[in-house]
Amino acid sequence: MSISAEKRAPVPAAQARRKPFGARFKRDLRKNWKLYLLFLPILCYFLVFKYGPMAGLVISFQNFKPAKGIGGSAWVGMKHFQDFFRDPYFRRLIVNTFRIALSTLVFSFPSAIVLALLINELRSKKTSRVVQTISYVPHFISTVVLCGIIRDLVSRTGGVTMLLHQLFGMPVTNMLYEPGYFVPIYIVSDIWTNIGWNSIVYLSALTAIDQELYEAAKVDGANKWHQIIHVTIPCLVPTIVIMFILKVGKMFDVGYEKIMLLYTPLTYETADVINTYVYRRGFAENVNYSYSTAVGFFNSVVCFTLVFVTNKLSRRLSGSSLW
Amino acid sequence: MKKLTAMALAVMLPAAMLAPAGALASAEKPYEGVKLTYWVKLHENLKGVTVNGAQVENMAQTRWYDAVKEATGIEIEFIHPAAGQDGTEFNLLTAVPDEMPDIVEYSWTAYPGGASAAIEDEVIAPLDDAIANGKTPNLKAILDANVDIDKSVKTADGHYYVFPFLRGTTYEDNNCLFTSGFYMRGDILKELGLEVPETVEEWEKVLRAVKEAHPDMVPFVTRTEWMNQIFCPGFDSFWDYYVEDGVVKNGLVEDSHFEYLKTMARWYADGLIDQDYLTHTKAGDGRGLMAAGAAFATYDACGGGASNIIPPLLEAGIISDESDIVTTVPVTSVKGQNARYSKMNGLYDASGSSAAISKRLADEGGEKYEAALYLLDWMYSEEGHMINCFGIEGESYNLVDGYPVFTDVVLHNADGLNVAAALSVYARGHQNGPVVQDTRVNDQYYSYSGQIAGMKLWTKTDFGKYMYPAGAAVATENADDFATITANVKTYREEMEAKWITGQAELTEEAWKAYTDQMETFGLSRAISYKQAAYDAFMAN
Repeated sequence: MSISAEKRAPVPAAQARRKPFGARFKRDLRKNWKLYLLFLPILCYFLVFKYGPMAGLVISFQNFKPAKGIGGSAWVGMKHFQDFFRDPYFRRLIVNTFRIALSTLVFSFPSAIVLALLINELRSKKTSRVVQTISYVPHFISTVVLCGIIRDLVSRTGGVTMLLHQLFGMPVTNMLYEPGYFVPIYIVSDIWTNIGWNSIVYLSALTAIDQELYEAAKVDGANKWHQIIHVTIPCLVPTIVIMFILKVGKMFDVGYEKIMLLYTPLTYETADVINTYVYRRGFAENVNYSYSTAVGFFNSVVCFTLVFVTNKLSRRLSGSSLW
Repeated sequence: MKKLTAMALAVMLPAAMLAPAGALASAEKPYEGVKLTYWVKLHENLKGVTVNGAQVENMAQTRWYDAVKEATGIEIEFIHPAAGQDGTEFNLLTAVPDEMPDIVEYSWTAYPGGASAAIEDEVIAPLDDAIANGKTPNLKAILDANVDIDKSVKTADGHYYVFPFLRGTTYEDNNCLFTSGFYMRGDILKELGLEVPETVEEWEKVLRAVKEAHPDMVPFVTRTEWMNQIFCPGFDSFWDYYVEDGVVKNGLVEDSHFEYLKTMARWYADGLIDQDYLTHTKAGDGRGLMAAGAAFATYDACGGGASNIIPPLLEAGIISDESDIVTTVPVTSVKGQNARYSKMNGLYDASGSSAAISKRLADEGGEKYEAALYLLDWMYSEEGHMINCFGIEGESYNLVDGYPVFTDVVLHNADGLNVAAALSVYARGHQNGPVVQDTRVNDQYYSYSGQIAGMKLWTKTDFGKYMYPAGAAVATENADDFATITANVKTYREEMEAKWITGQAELTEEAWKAYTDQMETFGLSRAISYKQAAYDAFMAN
């Protein structure tokens, strides 16, 4: 460890007089052309599949019709955005989306870290493998099947409902009919499905931690708990921060398929999020591509701002960031 | 068994003898050998069906196509979208109007902006000239004889555009308009000494009695959005736009709807309707309760309902005979009278697929265009009608005193196909497409006594008089506003009705007032005026 650290150290020395970017790039290209060649397919992929389609955002300013194409559809400017902002349900949708997204960040996100830490402490390799496998199996169940299971579990006669009734005397109702229960059901089931899968990245980060650090800590008299607090977690922080920023970037993408499969009109007041509303509004009855694109565009702008801010903050506070 | 074989032989022999004779008879084939391309979804009924040892992957493999080709001499190349991708693939089609297939089948009223937009976008060709110039004599005869249908198959601005899927030609006693109805346990009715319910009061009495005698049973179960549509009629209330004496109304905010909601709330509180009905969002949800003998009554699809409920009940010995599952009329407000409204389809069923000719082909004109008109019009001729609805004489049906009777090939298929699948090899009238449905199909199509009775009882409604015509589309300049109002009204209505029925909110006079006021704020009367304008324009055409 210490040797490799020394090797890395002297790199950023000779950068006092910078040549212009073009010249540097040319030189680098000549020197590392094989690497650039390897990178080329990825670049093409991003240009074709990620950046190219962005041009399609233009339809959010039109009344898009497939038969007329992007060139021929009528231009309506900001109309679809205004429609969305003026929608009587706009406030509720934003609040619900944020509520579910924040709850996911607060509860689901740390749960995977905790699980990874716990699995890491297991002595037996075999047990830890069994635990890992079992915990990420639900991730592979399709959302539709999963929601079917959830609906059965929390129905009037479902296992979870009965359990809560016996333990806490909760009234026997279909829990999916109570607006107050929707977010908890969503979050708990989200943790159940994704905890194992999400912990994989942390587990791999954990194996990369230098064992010497633990040995040094032990010499200094640290017990297991101290080791976790002062060695494991600080070493995990860069991974956590990056995962967190990525998660923030997808905040508005709250699992709307799952919400759609779980909500009822009774729980619209807590469960109806931007994406589900747009689905009902833009696809279920009258197909309105432009409106849906406009809302998608709005989502992306908000998420990009959030990612940008989180990244800035994290660089300032923890020193690690996405870029 | 021997008898069956003998019967099958008896059926086959005349078929073999008749076939060449039939070929000679229809000598008039003006477009013999013309090839057309035809875009249409492959119906689910054909999934897994084999003809001549090969899986049906293209409609050209069906006996129906053989018969069509035989009769018209026109060769069709069918193009099917991948299963479940029809919407996407249709959009891709329309994106390149220059490469549209000759004939395209689609639910044209679902085209963004309605059928008139499809003409405007140069996707399909208007048929006005063709119909006026007598190129489509068979279709024209039907339209001339039925003014209502004639109106409804035109666009909002009065253009013909489609060879329509028609569920018959009359609203009187027409079982083709009904695809779902009530099913209930006749054995329990008998045990309690009760009659089959017809009115709301009778329903309440029966459900209460069931609840008392069998406390563990769910008295009534069905899927969420049907609950509204099946019980509202009992209060002379309607759940959507309808027309009365030329005036467009929306039943959602009428006082009769308040009465409906109050009753449903009472039923829910007393456990007369399934306490989980709001989570039954798909067809078949909740069917399990009925099939397991845990529910007394349900509302379900005619075919899918009965065939999923009755066999398991018989197998489990819960009912002793299939006739223990009985049915009843649509809920009516006055016993013995037809229900004012009911859940039913329109004569021109815009949700089914109808055929249109692509603008590209019409522009090219010539023999192919004429052949397409001829082919689609032939579907409405006597010969085409019989092939579309019954298939091939001597093979899938026999004429007995002029009445087409299905053979065992359809009704008791030797390969174990159900009636829907077996018939779809020979015909397509029972599904969709450019055809006029025939009540005589439904009279034989169903085998359970509950279904057969349903085909008579479910037609006891006068809804045909009040139905808002499918063809009357809101004008383009109002379409956006209308869509916004509709979306808001729908969300609010679903939410409030669910709260009131389940008792999460109390339905009082004040709450109802606030609710109707809110609907007003959303612009419901503006939406009604759009609908009225569309209706007036539609009637004037």
